Amino acid sequence: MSRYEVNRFLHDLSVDETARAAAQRDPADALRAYDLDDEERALLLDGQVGQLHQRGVHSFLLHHLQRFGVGGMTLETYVQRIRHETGDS
Amino acid sequence: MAEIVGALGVPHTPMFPMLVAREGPDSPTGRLFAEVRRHLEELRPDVLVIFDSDHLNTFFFDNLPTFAVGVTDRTWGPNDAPPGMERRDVPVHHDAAERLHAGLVDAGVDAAHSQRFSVDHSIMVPVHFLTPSLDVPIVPVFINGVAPPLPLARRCHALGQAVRAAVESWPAGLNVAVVASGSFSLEVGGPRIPDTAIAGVPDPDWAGTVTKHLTEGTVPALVDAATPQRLAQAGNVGGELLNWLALLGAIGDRRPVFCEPQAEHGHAYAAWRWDQ
Repeated sequence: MSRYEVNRFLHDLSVDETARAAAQRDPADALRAYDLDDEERALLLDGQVGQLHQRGVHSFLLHHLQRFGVGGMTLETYVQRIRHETGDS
Repeated sequence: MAEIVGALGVPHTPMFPMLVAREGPDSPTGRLFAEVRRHLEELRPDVLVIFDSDHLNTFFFDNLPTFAVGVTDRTWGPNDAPPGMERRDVPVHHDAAERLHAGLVDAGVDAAHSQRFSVDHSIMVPVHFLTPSLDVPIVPVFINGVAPPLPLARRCHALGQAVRAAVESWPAGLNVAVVASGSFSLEVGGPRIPDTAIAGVPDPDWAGTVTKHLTEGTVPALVDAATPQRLAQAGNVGGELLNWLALLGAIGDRRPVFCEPQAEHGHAYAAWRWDQ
C-alpha cells in the first residue's frame, strides 16, 4: 500500500483548489492523477476512512474527505467509520 | 540589543474567525482573543516570532522538516481553505528571519529553512485576531507537531532557548514578542473524535495539567511530563503543545500575567510580560 500517494491525494484536497474541485466533481477520474493500487483506489472511492487509517494513512489528512464532502462523505458516516475502524456502517 | 519583550499563547481553531464574525466581539472567544491582543498592543513589538505546527499543508511528506524557519519578506495564507477566511498576504521580517535561522544553526539547532512557502490556519487564525491590520511582521518557526516521530519536548524547549539567545545577539534594537499557536489536547478526524463532531478533546485532564504548570511557572516539570506517549494520548494534534514549550524556552520559567484555561476545549489563552 502506498500511504504516500493516498496522503498526497488528501493533502491536495486541502491546498489545491483545482484538485479539490476535480475530486468533488468526479472522484474516480481525479484519482487517476495518483499512483494508487486497486485496493487503495477502492477504499478511497468507498470512503473507507477507518480501513485507510488502519493501513497507516494520516488521520488528520483523512478528515479532508469529510470537510470537502468528497464522494458524498457525511460527518455521520465519517465518524462511524473512523471511530470503529472497520469501514462498516 | 534586540530583546524578547513578551509572549502570547493562543489556540487556532479554524472556525473561530467565522464564529466571532457571527457572534460578535463580545462573544467568549472574541473577548479572549481581545484580551491577548491588548497585551500584544501594549508590548508594541517590532516582530512576532510565531512557533507553529503546520497541519501538513505548508509541508508534506515529500520534504517534512522537524524544525524550520520561514525566511522571506512575504508569505500568504490560509492555504487550507478554512471557512470564512480570505487569502491575505502577511509580511515577514526578512532580516530577523535570516538572522534567527543562522543563529539557531550556530547554536547547534539544525533547523531547515524555506524561502518560498504559504501558511495554514495555524498562523492565520492567530494573526487574524492579534494583528488584524497585519502591521507587525512575523517570523514563523515551524515545529512538527502532527506527524510522528515528533521532536522531544526538551528539544523544543531548547529551541526556544536558542531563539532567545539568537535574538539577544542581534545588534538592532528590535522588540520581539513570541507567540505559541495550538492546543494541548485535540483529535481532528481520528478515531477518538466524538460521536457528533469532526474534532474533540480526548484528554481534558492533560489540558488541565498543562495549564496548571503554565500558571505556576513549573516549566521543567511540564517538559518532563510531555513525553511522546503523553502527547500521543492527547490527540493526533496534541503535539501542538510543543509550540508552547518552545515559547517557554524563549522566555524562561515565568508565570503568565494572564491565563485563561479551557481544559474542556483542550487549550488556553495566555500572555507573559514583565514590563509592569
